[in-house]
Amino acid sequence: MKGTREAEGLLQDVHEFLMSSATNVEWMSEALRSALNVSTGLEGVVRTAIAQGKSVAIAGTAGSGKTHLLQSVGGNGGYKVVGDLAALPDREWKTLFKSGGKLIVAGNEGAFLQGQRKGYPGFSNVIEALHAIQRGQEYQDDGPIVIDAAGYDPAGSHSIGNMLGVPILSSYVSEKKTAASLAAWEMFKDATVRQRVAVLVETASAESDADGFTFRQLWQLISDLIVGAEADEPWFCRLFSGACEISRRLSQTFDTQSVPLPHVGNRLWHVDFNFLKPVFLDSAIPVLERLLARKARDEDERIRQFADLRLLSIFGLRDSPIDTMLRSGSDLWGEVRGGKCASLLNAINRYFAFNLLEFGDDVELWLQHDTERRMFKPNIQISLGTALSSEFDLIYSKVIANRPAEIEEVHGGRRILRHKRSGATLSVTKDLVDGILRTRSHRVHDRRDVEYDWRISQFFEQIAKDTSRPDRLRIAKFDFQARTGRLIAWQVGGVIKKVTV
Amino acid sequence: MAAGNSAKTIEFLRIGNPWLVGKNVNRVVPIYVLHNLLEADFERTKSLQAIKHLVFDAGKALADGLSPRVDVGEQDYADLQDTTFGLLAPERRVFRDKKGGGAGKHGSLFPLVGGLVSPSASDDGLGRRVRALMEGHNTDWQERLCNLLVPQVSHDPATSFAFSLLGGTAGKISKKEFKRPRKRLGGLDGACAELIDNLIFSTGDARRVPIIRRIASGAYLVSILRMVVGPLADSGGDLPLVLVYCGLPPGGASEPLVRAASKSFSNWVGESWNACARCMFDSLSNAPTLPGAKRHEKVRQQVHHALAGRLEGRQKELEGVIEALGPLFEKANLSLAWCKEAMESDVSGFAKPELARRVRSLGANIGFAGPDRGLKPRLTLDTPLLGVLVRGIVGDGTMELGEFVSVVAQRFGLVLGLGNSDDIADKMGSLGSEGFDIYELLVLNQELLRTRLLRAGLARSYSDSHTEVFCNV
Repeated sequence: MKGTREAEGLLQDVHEFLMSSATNVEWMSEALRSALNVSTGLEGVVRTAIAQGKSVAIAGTAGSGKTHLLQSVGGNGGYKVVGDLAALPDREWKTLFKSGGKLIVAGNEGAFLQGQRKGYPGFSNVIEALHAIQRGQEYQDDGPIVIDAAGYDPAGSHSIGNMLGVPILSSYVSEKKTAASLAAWEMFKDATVRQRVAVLVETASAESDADGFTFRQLWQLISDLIVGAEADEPWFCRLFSGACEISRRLSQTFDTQSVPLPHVGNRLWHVDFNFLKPVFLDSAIPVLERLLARKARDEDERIRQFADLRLLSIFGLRDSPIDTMLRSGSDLWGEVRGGKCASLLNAINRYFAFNLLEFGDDVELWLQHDTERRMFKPNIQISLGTALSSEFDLIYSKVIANRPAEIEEVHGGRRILRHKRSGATLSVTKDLVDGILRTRSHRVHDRRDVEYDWRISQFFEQIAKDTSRPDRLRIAKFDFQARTGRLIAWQVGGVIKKVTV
Repeated sequence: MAAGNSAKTIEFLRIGNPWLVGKNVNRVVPIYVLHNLLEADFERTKSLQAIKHLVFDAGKALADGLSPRVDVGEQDYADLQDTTFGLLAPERRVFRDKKGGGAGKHGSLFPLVGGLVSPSASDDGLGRRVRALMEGHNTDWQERLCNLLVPQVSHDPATSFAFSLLGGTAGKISKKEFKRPRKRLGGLDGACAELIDNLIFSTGDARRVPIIRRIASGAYLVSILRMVVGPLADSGGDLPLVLVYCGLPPGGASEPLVRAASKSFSNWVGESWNACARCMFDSLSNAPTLPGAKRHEKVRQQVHHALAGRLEGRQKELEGVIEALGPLFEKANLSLAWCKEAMESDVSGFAKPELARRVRSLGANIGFAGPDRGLKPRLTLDTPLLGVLVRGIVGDGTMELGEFVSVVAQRFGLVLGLGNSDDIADKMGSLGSEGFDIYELLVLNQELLRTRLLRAGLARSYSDSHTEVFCNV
């Protein structure tokens, strides 16, 4: 009896949590926090630090999981714990790191920055460490272990997959929602389905360099899928049309209307269950049956039914079209995700050469020095030098500075193309990759490409600082009518002479 | 309505606003402004015209003295021309001399080094004015500029190419030195000078070429701002505020934010126009007149006096302008209303829409205004210009986003968002549209700016409420 009451109370807590606009953990009961807990690997870092008697600084934006991390590690004997640096009286900041005692401090990165600006001891180390790991550098000094909670990418780490699989959510849907919603939610018992959602969320998160997703935003997505949906609306329909930020970004990143469904699309339209049953995952069959059984009274309903089936197919087909959605015309993003940079370098070369010249993987450092806004394609491009492909690598931002040796590296969500010799970095986002796969545009209404050009040019500038040689000038000349291009090389410095390319 | 006289009468309007550009606004481009900003620091190079010829006619260039520096057979002339064109005339501001062959005297090369700098008459005096403004700025900017433009050795092939064409040198620094003023410039002029100062970063490595490019954009931006906002600053008024659309330019014409930015642009130009009339009135009022002269004669004398100061040593031009303005002096009585009427009359051939057209045309050259044609012009920030603005304001340090937005508004009147104070929304008046009030629009604009800065690598987000703006290059 007591157990039933506790379970009911927990479901009520879940309800309040999902209905809350902030979905934060500050007020959560221990039972609920434990029921919703998803391990990130960062808990182990804090525990190891405590075991080794080291101080820890946890930085991150609101909703990035700082408080949750602090609460999950439980007792921390002998440590001074500052749950929110911003709330600490200013006079205590001065001695916070100075005292040499054991300390765990969490706060917005902005608060640590304020400490640095005021010249308080220890804050500079934290900021330096954060900046280094955000650029993907290994950082070690004698300061505290620094965890960049905001840098930890719950979307990139596929935390959403684990979150969707939390049993208490299934119980809540079973209790509060319709049988149709429950059938759809039960699909999350299948790891393949969860993985597919996670991959899409990861890609939407990496779409631009503005901001990744926080844990809070992931919970807001889940809340929207459960309590924001209409009575019988399955989660896979809500995923792209919900009211939360992640749904908005998903709908911007993926065009679900044009998902290719060769062979299957026709059968879905004609409600051919016998054909469809073996091509769908077992976990999706009950939902498929329900959707197919829905009687369409008119053409509009039929179209809606087909749209729902198409969305189900993305997650429910054994051979999902999700890879095609991710590729968006090329495998390049997949290669970037896999950490291979040769194809990316090649694509950057081709982008700057308007796809008229092949340079291979070594990167030509093109110079843009025209002083007027570009509105036409320059038919001549000047190279400041060539950077060898072997000097580049694709890395992830890091999450932990002063990482104890026994703790495995946890990478962040930012993908970075790095030129090792100069230390120049370029943040690689999906929209940048998509941009460089298209031909460069200089139209006055299409300034997105100017932004890509600018980002890459800044990168080239930093590389050229160390790589450029003063004795050889290469230019590329393009004939846009004939769709050809060629390279011309000069020996410069003394008397100018033409040399073989 | 532009009348045929406007080429002459622009000098009349410049009594009120010396930075005003003439009717051939299309030829006033950043490269000319840059050359005129730089030219006082460097000696003229004798072989400059031969180098210009190289853009179009390698044979002529080599015959004119470049042959010891270039060892190229006739079969490679075309490639050499193309290379020189791409490197030294990327904005195509060197022109073919159809009669004499090679390049004409007009036009300017990209000043990769000081030896390629030459004055140009095509910027309507903007570069010279920027230079004068910089000479009132008391930092070591000139030293840094000279080091940037005349490196001892070249580290990159583009600079090497220029070295080779100039016979192994980057040019000579002029012996004329200006005296660094003791006091710092204040107000708008100080802000403009500091923006350019922050862009001058002395380095000899490959980064120097993009730095020169940014100085060109910065000087040009300052010219536009000084042209529009200057009369208000000169007349002692507050800087007029103008909403700059911070999304990717040019923005959809139906967006509430874009509509507000267009309306704001129109108000901004209007305020500048009125201030120009005030400045003209003040200037003419202070001009002496002959005793016993009739009222309308007095006005002629005042205009003559004001123009004589501006057109010193150009007596014939002065007489031509006075003659062209003749109809304005009939029954003239100097007042603010007369100045305004005279400015907008057919005789002067200039009107408020003309000013808007010029600002738009100049702004479009660097991505500061858009769209290029059609209704509703507004101020925008194309990504390279955004980089220039950030570097110009922040230098090599960092600044919190709210502070950055406030500083830009305070120094130049450019409103990018709310900044650190809500007051700016009150000052912007009733610019809201389609259910959005100005407060909401400014919040939205600042968020668009934040996103663009983050994407362009010009900002770092420290938390959902703290973003730091910086420019590492």
